[in-house]
This record gives sequence, structure tokens and C-alpha cells, in this order.
Amino acid sequence: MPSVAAKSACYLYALAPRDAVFDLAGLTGVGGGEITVSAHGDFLFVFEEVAVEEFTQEKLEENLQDLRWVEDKVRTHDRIEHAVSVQTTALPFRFCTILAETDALSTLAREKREEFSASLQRVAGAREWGVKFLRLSKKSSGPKSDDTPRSGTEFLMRKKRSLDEQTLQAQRATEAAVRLARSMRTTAREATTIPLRQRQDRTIVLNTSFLVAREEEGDFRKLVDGMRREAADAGLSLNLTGPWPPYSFTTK
Amino acid sequence: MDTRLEESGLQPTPLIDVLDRVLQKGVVIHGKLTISVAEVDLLDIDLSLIISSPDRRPLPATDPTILEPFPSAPR
Repeated sequence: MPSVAAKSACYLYALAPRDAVFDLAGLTGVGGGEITVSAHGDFLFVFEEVAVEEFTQEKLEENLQDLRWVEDKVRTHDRIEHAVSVQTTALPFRFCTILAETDALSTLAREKREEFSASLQRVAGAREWGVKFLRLSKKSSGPKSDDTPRSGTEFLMRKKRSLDEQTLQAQRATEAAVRLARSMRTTAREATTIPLRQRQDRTIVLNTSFLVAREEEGDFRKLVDGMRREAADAGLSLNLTGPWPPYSFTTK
Repeated sequence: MDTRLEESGLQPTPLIDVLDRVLQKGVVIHGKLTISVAEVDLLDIDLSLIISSPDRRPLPATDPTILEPFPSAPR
């Protein structure tokens, strides 16, 4: 769409130490443009110049209702974060972190110098691995369904018993998951949890992320795989993802 | 092309795992430098679109103290 000097904003992807070396040639960003890397203060900023009109609050709220748009943009964002983080230590910015103008990068580098440096040091040489703990589906061992309750009271009592049992099972599954996650932490530099969302698949009991030094990745994956049996005995399956850029370890 | 998949040999990364990180985590810049877009609540996305058969049972225990086993967990 031709426009009268379209105003551009600065869509931030990542931040790396000034002496970092990486190549992002051929990658296309969320706005369809090329990725730019420029040095400001102690850091290299990875960004894309995007049209402001595409990222106004109104437009974004509208786009967020469109799952195809969301999937495309979120995966593109992640692809660029991943491309940077496999080549160097870097901090990923949250989706749609946009500066009004590229000139603001120097100010940002100056104002946040200590904070950025400390965060880079924290994740240096490490990447994130995700482990989700899912409950294996198991048929309830309650009373048979063709055993019709004789009264409304009995129906309600049965229903309550069944709910109590479900709650208890959920508690036990969560406890087992926490125990396993603590063991996984022994080969990780840090660990954290990702909040469960409303309307998320209810078989998830715990969603965890681990910051693992690259030289420990083999051991970490072996440890997780070695726990699958124990997890299954506790009615859980483990879902490992990664390596991720250190998304979950950028803020205190 | 999923370079993560090639590198790790794991299954393709589900969208929900990408959303969990890209929308909720990562460095956030507050203040005058950013344009208004950063104020939008990105969690507004209707996740029922993503999860094919949402289960309406109450969430299992999500007590935040569950974080405590992790010494480095954010408060």
C-alpha cells in the first residue's frame, strides 16, 4: 500500500552484548521487513522498522481476535528470537515491544544499562527448556454409571464424592509433579513456573521452565527422560520442549 | 522450517507453548519510550480458539506457593 511517508516504529526482538557476532540474513520479521542490528551503548539491538499503522492499539486488539494472524506473528517473533539465541547470548523482548522511533534505542541503552547487563550475565551461555506435567487420562473407578441413584440426595452425594475424588487426584498429581520438577532443577541453573491459563487444557498440572547451561543440556535431557517412568507411575506424562531463548528468565 | 525441531529432535512446538512464552515472558519496557501498543493486554486472546475441546472443570491447584520449591522463583 503506497502511503505518504509512512511513519515507522521500531519493533524490538532482542538485545545482545555489543561484541556478539551473529547473522540474521534472509529472515523476515513480523512486519514483513528485514531485520536490522545496530549498536547502542554496550549493546546490540535486533529490531525491525514497522509501519505504525499496523501496530496501533486499536489495530492490535482487532488482530488479536484473529488466530491466524496471532499464530503467524507469534511464530515469526519466536523464529527470530531463536535465530539470535542459537548464535549468541541474548535477551528476548516480549511480543510487540515497539519503540516510537529508532532514536529511542540510545536512550534505552543508557537508561537500562545496568539492568540489561545483569540480565545478560544471568542467562549467559544458557538456554531455556520447558517441561509440562500432564495427567494421563484414567477412567474413574467410581460406581458404575448404570447404577441409578435411588434419590436426589443420593445422586448429589455421589456427585460430591466423585468431585472430592477428582480434587484429591489433582492434588496428588500436582505434588508428584512438583517433586519431579525439583529433581530436574539439580542440573539447571534456575527454574520457574509458567502460570496455568484459564481455559487451558485441564490435563496440565504444572508448567515449568528451566534455565540450563549449554554444557549441561545433555545431562538435563537425560535426567528428564529418566524420570518418565516414575512420572507414569504417578499418573503423569512429561512434555519436553526447547531449546527456547531464555524468555522466562529475563525478569526477576 | 522449525530449526528448534531440527536441533532438539523433539516434536514440533505446539502454538500454546510459544504463546505462553512470547506473550507472557521476555523483557518488557515501560514508560515513555514505547508506543501505546505495549499497553494492550496480550492475554486477551481467546484461547478457546486454540484449544479444540476446552474442559470446563475447575483448574487444579494453582496456589502460588507451589513456586517456593524453586529458590529462584519470582515472587
